[in-house]
Amino acid sequence: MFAIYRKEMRSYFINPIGYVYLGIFLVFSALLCCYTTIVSGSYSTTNYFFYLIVSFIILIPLLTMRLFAEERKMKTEQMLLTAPVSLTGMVLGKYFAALTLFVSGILLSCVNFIPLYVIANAERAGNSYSLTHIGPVTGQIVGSVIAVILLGAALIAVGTFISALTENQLSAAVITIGVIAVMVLLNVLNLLTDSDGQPLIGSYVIRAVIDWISVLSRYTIFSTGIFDYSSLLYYISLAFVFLFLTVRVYEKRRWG
Amino acid sequence: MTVEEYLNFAYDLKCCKLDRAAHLEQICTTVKIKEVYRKVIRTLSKGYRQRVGIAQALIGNPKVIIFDEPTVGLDPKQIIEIRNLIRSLGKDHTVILSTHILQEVQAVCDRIVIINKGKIVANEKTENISNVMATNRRFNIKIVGAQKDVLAMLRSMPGVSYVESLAERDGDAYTYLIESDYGVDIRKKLFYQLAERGWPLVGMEALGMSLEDIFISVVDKSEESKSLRVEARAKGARRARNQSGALEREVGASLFEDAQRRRTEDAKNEAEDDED
Repeated sequence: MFAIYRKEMRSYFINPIGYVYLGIFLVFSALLCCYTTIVSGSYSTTNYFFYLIVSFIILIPLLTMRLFAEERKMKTEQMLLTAPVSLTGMVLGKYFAALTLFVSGILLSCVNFIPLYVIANAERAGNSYSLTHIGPVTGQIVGSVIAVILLGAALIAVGTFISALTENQLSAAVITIGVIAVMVLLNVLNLLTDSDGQPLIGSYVIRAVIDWISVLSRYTIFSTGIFDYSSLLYYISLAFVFLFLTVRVYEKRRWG
Repeated sequence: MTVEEYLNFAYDLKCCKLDRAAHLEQICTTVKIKEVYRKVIRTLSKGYRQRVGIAQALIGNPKVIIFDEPTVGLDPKQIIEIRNLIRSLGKDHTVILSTHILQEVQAVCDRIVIINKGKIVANEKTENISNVMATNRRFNIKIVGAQKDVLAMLRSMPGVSYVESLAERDGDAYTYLIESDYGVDIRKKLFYQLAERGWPLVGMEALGMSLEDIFISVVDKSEESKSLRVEARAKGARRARNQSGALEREVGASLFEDAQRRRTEDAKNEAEDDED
């Protein structure tokens, strides 16, 4: 498993894809952070994280599209399938490589918050009243970062699964974009209202179901700074289910 | 990925316990890829890539190596090199070579197994098969003399199972295809007979049996007589097949039948053509 992990990590940086991903992600997150906080004169990072999650629709397929599809196309998967490594080890090795790149991107992008603290410090220094909190709420930021990582982990598992289904990187990417878009944006349906301010989807049951399925609704709890174990379990089980399905796909291919 | 990275990856993947540097060094010497060790695999020629694949397979010193069409797509020089490599690997490992290039089998293997539709239809040492092939039973001969008389003489000769006059002519000599009975060498007798009658023999060419002929006949036979064979096995006839020369007889007989059938078909076709 570690051999596969190492090889995947290396191949992210032999191909331009690792640099492209990190570059795009860092530039995008920096701009986003700048516009949602400093430019709009707010310390709240809620918008920043929301748009960041929306950007995953494009960014996560970049990470996962080649994982298995390329292997299959280049006919190198036979080597992996015949090697003394379990299918679970193979899938996990690849999954964790993608996850590592993703998490390192997120952690690197945390430098975006430094200006907020700097500005807040300056503002606090000029103010005499100390009862009001000025500046970003650290708890919220930490909670959001953890939630974003968990959400990403779940979405990467989805992408991994889709990559294992197809031989073509491009179709893997397109399908992943579609699936992740639905998973992320489903929640938006619940927020739509008609002219009277009533929810567009009348049925409470449907709204509850959408809320339950949507990966975004779980995230909001974290973003308020509450560490929610049920959401943690939700994301981890989502990742687990899709990785398990990936293993099954390969199990079938190995004997089929 | 460079060759070095790839082999190291394979080494890790196989959880190999041997000394890494020495083991990889030894493998690279065996398959002769040292000079491309630091190159990117994508840029290598097909022959080198094939070697890198073989090197990967050798990591961890496996007891058995299975090659599936190892020389496909290589140029003749590379084919010879890869064959030599496979043969040298055969000294230390059990090599199973799966290929449709039959000359390759003959050149490289000690034992030949023919599998047809999942069933083993022949399992023989290469030398036994070579014996079958070396037994010349068909000849192209060129004789100067009246075609009719020569044909009649040849047909009446004991040990000759089939004679046919071919359209080809060489000066005043006619060409004939002649086939002997199984296990009979008719060459000397033929020479004396012709000398007696004063018909000079100006050419004799042995038409050996190729491995392709054997392959086709064995496979055809296995399909035709599947049910028969099951019965024969039940009667213990299998033991007879394993005795030396059993395959020779079997293949020889089947080839003969085959040839006979083809000839009758040809004759029929010709007759039809004549009518037209």
